[in-house]
Amino acid sequence: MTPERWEKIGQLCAAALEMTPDERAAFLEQACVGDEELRREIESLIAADARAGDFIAAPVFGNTVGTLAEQHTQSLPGRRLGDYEILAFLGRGGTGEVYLARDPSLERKVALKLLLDDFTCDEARVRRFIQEAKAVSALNHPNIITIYEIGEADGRRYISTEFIEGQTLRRRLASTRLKPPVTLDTTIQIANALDAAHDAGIVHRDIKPENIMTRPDGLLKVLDFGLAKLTAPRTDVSIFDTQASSPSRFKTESGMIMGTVAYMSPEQVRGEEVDQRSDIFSLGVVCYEMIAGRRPFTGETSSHVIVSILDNEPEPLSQYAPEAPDELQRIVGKALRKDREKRYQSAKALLADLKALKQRLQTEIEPESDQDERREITAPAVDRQPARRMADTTGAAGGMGAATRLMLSAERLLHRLNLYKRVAVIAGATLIAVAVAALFYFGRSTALTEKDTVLLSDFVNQTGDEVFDSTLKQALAVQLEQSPFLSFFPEERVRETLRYMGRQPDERVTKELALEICQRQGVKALLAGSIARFDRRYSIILEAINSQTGSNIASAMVEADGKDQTLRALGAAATQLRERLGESLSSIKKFDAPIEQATTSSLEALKSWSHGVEMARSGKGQEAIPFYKHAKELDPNFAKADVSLSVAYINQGQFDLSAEHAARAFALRDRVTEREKFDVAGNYYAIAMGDLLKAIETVEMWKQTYPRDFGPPSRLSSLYRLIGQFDNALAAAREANQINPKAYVPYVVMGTALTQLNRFDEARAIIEQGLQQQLGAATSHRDLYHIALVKGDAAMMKQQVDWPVGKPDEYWAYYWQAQSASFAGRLKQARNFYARAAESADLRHPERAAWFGQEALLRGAACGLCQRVRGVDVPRTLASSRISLQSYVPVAVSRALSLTLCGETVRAQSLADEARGNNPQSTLANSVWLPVIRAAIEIQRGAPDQAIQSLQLAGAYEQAALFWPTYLRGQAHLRRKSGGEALVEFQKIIDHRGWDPTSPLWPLARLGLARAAALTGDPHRSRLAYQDFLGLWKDADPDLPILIEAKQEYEKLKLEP
Amino acid sequence: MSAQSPEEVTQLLLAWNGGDTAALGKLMPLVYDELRKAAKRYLRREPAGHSLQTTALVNEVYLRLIDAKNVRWQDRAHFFAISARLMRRVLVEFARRRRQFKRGGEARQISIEEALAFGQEQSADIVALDDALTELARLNPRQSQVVELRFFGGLTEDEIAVALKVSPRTVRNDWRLARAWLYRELNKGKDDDS
Repeated sequence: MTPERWEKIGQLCAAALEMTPDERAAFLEQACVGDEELRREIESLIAADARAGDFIAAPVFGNTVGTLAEQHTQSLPGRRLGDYEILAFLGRGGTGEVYLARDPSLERKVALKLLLDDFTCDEARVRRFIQEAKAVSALNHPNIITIYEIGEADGRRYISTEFIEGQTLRRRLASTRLKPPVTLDTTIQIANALDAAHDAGIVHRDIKPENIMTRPDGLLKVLDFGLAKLTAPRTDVSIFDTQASSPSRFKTESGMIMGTVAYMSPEQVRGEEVDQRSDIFSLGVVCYEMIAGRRPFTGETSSHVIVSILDNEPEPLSQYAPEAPDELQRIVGKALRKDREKRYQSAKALLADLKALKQRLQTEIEPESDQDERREITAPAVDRQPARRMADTTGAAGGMGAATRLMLSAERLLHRLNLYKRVAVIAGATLIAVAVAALFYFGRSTALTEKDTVLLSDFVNQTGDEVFDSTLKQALAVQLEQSPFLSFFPEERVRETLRYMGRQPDERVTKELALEICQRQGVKALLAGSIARFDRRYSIILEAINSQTGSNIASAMVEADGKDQTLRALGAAATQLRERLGESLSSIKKFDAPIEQATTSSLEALKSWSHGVEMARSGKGQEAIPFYKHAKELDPNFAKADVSLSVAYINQGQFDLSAEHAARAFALRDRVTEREKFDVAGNYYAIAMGDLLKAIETVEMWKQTYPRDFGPPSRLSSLYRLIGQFDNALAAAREANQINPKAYVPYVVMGTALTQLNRFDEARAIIEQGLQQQLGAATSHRDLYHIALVKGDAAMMKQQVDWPVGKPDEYWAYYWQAQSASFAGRLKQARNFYARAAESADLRHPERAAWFGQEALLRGAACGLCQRVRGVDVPRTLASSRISLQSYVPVAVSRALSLTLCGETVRAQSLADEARGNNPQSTLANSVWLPVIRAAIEIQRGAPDQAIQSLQLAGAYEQAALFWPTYLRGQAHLRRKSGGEALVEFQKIIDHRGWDPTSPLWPLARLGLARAAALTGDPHRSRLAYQDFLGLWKDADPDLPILIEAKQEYEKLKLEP
Repeated sequence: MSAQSPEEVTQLLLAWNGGDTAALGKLMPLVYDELRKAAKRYLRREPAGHSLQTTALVNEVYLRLIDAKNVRWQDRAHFFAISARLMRRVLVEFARRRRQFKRGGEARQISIEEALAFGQEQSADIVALDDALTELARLNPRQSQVVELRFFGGLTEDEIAVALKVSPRTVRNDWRLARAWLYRELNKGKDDDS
């Protein structure tokens, strides 16, 4: 077969395929005369064409993700990898997935980490990593995880290590701070591990709570030595130019923030060579976090964190952990020195100081044997399930011994007060914490009955003898703690609540304060006690109080003859109380704490605000506003209330008010907790400044720091949608929905995002699912209306339109109908609807009314109706030129575009300039709409090439501007006479109805396509496109300039051969 | 893997398209890498396994590798043509290797390659298709290109028309003919010939 022959075959074949079988036979007969071979060839090709079906019809990647997803859910557990039997999926980390597996040859359980392929293609790297991992493992150190094997099976590289039944330090820190003795012990163990590794010349490089596992018996294991080397990204992570005056951002992947930098040392962040001292710094950060409950270096974005690491001195530990010994503060401070020459130079040096401190603490807590032998009072028998073991409290080897000793020495505490500021608090609180910790540690494996939580307030000491000040509370805790029905509200959370109340974390918890804490946290009851003295007799009273009603649930009173009998008496009282309390508590109904904690000094304000939040979450945003306002009246400094108001107003389309409240909250940001700060800052960036990218970054940081919060994914879903990243929006909304299935925002965002992705059926399903649970908003019905329009379902359209009637925002009904009317070219009818909508909205939502008005003009202008556009002069309020956060064309942009389309480029330009000046930080303005306006102007002025360039700038966030960039690009190409390129653009619009289902640009795209096809010399296609367009607009206003043009063109075309 | 800057990658791509075969060797691992990551990202976002838009995937991979802003828009279509060619090479290469790979044991690894490409049987098809395409290119280069752009690159007819600077109608004809021929070639001996 030669090319020439093939050419001939091709021509004949092409011709033949167009014919009917009869015509074909005759044709071939004639064309292939004398060449049977040729004829056979052609016939077999025609046959093949008929049979080909969907052979290579779909591009090669089309369905693969589906296949992969299926395979994924089948997944590994139950299968084998090499010799290992995979039992369960444990988790996923940055380097790969971890499975629980069984090594049959040695009959043991292992943790099998399958490394991501991304990391294993560089052979050299892998080899280095294996070397290091083996070297570390060879040390055989108790605090370093043992690596059994590194290998490859079925194309996957894996590491098998000992399986630790326990939890990471991250999980432990997620709920509580750790007491100094525990922290000390933990740090010592980690330092031990580092010491051994450093001696072998290995630096870990990635010390962080996720890499530290705790066994139930308290033994620590450090994981992932050497992996940091493997995962160092190809492109330099630490793009920090020491020459530059300000640090540059970390490279981001698809808009997400890099992994946590918070534990990196200054030299790591700078990209310099690191040595063992870097590990020490990281350990210092971890230690700080354990004690203080927060990280030493924080910030709204990664950049802020980096700056913090490089420049800021961390706040003193005493601020967050007043009970921490000063020496510990000094040690941590030395580990956190920015200049590594000034840091501990080795893990050994650090260990020395840590051990010395530990020694000191122990002697202070531990009883001196001689003094107390005589006075031994046996504590009540410990009634414990033997399987429960406790967290190590004194740093000695864990186990029953230490705890029992401590409990027995509860009495000895009475004699040990002055040594150490809060040693009693520590010891007692630790015991209290033990109950909670036990719950926490064994939460999954041991079934524990649900305990009632009770708050213990400080004892009222009327004896004048300070011995009793704090020890009684602790002793009482010990006694009551044995009840299977009770557990105590943790000290850390008491402190946290105090902070939310704007009080000092170490304030005395009086009965009044305790009551409020209970109210804020949903704790059913509080225990109050008092001790008084009459001569030699001591009188102890214990009371349990219902925190909602303030009434007494149960009480007990005992007397003791002499100071040394008080403890026994307390025990008796506690026993009495315990019995009475157990039953009563269960009969008290659980009440709901405020839905979220926020910083405010007024409990009433918190309640009011919380009620508002609850309403808003379920979709009653407008009704929530009075509650927020009430909260602000009660506490003018209530920042979160301002944030809530800001959000509520923007949902009402009241942008000025919204921005005002955002700014107010931002001004108060130093009074709030770190968690609230994220919300305040993110809200401010988004609403007051319009800088959506910065807002996203901030909220991503919030999400990382508090991964279980609902706020971040919910807000992210809206933000991503606003910049046109529908996939990201969808993913975030799903996450948010999982965290809180009772909130409406995820349903709404999912509905809109899916619609915009052209997935109409899914969108409908989700929206209806939400509406069934009363979770929706006007937007939900709008989207359903759009979907109905796309599907041509008149009944469903009517259903949606009926919904707002009689409601305060009735104008939606008119607005939506205005949109669908303009979609069909019925501009007159549309105008009427727009007018009615504007009228209906004008009183309460003038900004919306203006917006409706402008949209009417814009859609008219797109169809060639320019009289009103030119005539109307811009009223002052419109010219505020704020490019607001909304899903459709903002008013100022709408105005500028209308003017441009009608040839008024000078006026349009000046509006655009004004807008640029007034929206300096706005993402939507600068990255989306202003380029669009500029391009439109350039087209109008006859510079289509420039228009194309201008539209490049909108590139990344194009979909935030609906069809406009694509449509304008198509128009520009038409002007340049590039039919082919124009075809691509208009076809794109047609393929993406979901981007703006009611836009007249969609039918107009067919007109564009027709014109483009004509340019490319394809009259057939052109004709079809004209027909499509005219078909879609068969009921359009006949006097529309663009329709008239189209008809004329079509007529001309029909006449052509 | 040495880090390649976007500019370098762009140069490599153009060099390879200009005939420098060594450039391909350097490009392939990068593309592979990115392909895998891109597919995983899609997975993570859409666990329900929605069908992937090929052009989206190809786009994404290329935008990551090169500095898209520096590729002039007029060259974009041309550029995606290059990428389709590369995609084909990558997949075929993989398919060839896969054919030799013996599936040992019971564990089916969940590798992106497996999902991106296909099982053993399909590997054979892809290799055969590639061979046939090469033969077709000998007969009519443009037809082969059309198939390549459409099947491996995922471009639409209009986009192909722009890339090859022909009319969409020509593209359609080329496609139809080429497909018939390929189908016939790949099924030789399988069908009953009428």
